[in-house]
Amino acid sequence: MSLLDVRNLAVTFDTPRGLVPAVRDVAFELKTGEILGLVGESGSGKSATSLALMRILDPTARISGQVIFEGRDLLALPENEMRQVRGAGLSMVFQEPMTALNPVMRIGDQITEALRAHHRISTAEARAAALDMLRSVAISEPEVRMRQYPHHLSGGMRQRVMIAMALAAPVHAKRPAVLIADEPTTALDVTIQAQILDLLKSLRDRFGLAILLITHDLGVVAETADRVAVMYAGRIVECGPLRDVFSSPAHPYTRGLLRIAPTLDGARGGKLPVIPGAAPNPSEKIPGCWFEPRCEARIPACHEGVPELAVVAENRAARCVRSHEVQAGAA
Amino acid sequence: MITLNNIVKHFPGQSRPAVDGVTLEVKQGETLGLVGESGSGKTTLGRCALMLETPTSGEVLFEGRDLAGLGKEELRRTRRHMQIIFQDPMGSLNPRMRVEKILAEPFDIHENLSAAETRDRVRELLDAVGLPPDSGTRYPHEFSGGQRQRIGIARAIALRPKFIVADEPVSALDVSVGAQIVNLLADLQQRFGLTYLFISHGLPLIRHISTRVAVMYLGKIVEIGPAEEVFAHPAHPYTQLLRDSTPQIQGHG
Repeated sequence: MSLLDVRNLAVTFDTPRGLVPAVRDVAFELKTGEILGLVGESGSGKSATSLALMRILDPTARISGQVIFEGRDLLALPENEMRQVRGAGLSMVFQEPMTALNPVMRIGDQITEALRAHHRISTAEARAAALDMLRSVAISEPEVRMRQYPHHLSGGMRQRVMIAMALAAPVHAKRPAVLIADEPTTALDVTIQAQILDLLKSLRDRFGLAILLITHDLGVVAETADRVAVMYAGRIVECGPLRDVFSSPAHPYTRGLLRIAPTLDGARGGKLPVIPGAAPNPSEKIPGCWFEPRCEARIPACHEGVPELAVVAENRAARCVRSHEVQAGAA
Repeated sequence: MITLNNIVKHFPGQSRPAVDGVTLEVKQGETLGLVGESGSGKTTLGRCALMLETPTSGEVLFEGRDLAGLGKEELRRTRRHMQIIFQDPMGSLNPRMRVEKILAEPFDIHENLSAAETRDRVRELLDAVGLPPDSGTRYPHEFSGGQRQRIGIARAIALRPKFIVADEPVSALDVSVGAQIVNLLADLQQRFGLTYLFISHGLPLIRHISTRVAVMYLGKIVEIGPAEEVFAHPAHPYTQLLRDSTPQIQGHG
């Protein structure tokens, strides 16, 4: 059974220039102990999706659909109950830990405060839990770190602190079951990135944590995720097990992304394959498939309405009228 | 083309030099890839190569001439042959100037052209970087990130330079757009015989575009060699660590 079940999620921003749909018809499931990579380029709606799950979008956003977590629809909860879910059921870490941490508060105090917001525990118990969690994220000298301020720490260390804060729980209390990680390594150097990705995998193994990993980087997904969902212009265009999607993509956009990424052992020099053009503006009105103008496999039928996210194989779906041919390499 | 001799750049108040004794040669027509993590000194080194930063010690030779020995006027005249492309084109384009004005500026400064000649040159530039001919009358904010980088590139090539430092030119762009820009840079290199110092933290990209690669760590070059060779058989443990840390999508395909 899935832990988190997102159905028909839509996010629309009410702007001075009218309604701008950022996320449309997004649906996915997340299971215990699973890492789902949500991939997309800027403006694809991946971050808006994650913020909608946590209900921390700004007030101009209208969210509709269902986000079922432990049997309850989070979008229908009163705000005071949602506040209890955030940080105790669903937690989130962001790209830039420096802006998410309070710069004038000691690390230990920040984690302790976050814990006491959700649990009726003494300061001593909270500190013990904070220390325990800092050990779990493999921070060196956790006792010393507790007394330090964020600016004392390197970028990678800060991200470890953020992850510790997101997942800390007192003894005998339930840890958050879902971690939403929004570009958690994008601001980090590759050597540090590799460490943080390893940490996420080890936390998944140890706590049975489900992780929604949001990233623009297919390489990050390839190293980390079990399943992948690819977003384009506000919609999921393909999803399925990582191995299957990467070896035989069923949507031309996924295939394009896989082709254009330079590698460390492929052909070198010459021209990189490209996806021509650029993603459409979300406020545009496009009758057919939103990828059609950039698509190498387009046919007249692509103009006839936005394709459904249709099943192409076991556990796999794609939003393309030619998905079977694309997957078979015939289009 | 460019020779850097034992370049040191020590910013005041910092415990160690940003660039710590780098000797490097960029050969005519090649792309030398400079790869390293944040704080490695790669951007500072690139700026030193153009004398945008004055090195604390060491010399920069452009076509055999020591740039530090040039008078102000001579340096200005030499500079037209050496240009830079930045990571964030928005930060380097004047938001209040129309694109035609931005692209006309190099000609106004370095060449004595009539208004009509300048207009023609601007049109040629827009065409060379694949921007629509009517782009000139618009402002930078009206363009997408990839198009803005094309404007930045157009400005850099306006005076037909010989040497260009490209400092993380596609790092702020989406991959699908970045690939187009990389191809454009390769085209322009062929067409105008450009020499590049290409700075990036991304190994696969550096490997793709470079003739030779220099790996920088804590202000020093730790390894340099042909692009293919450096990543296939790293001679330095740091290069190996960088390579092994780089997420890979192949092996699935």
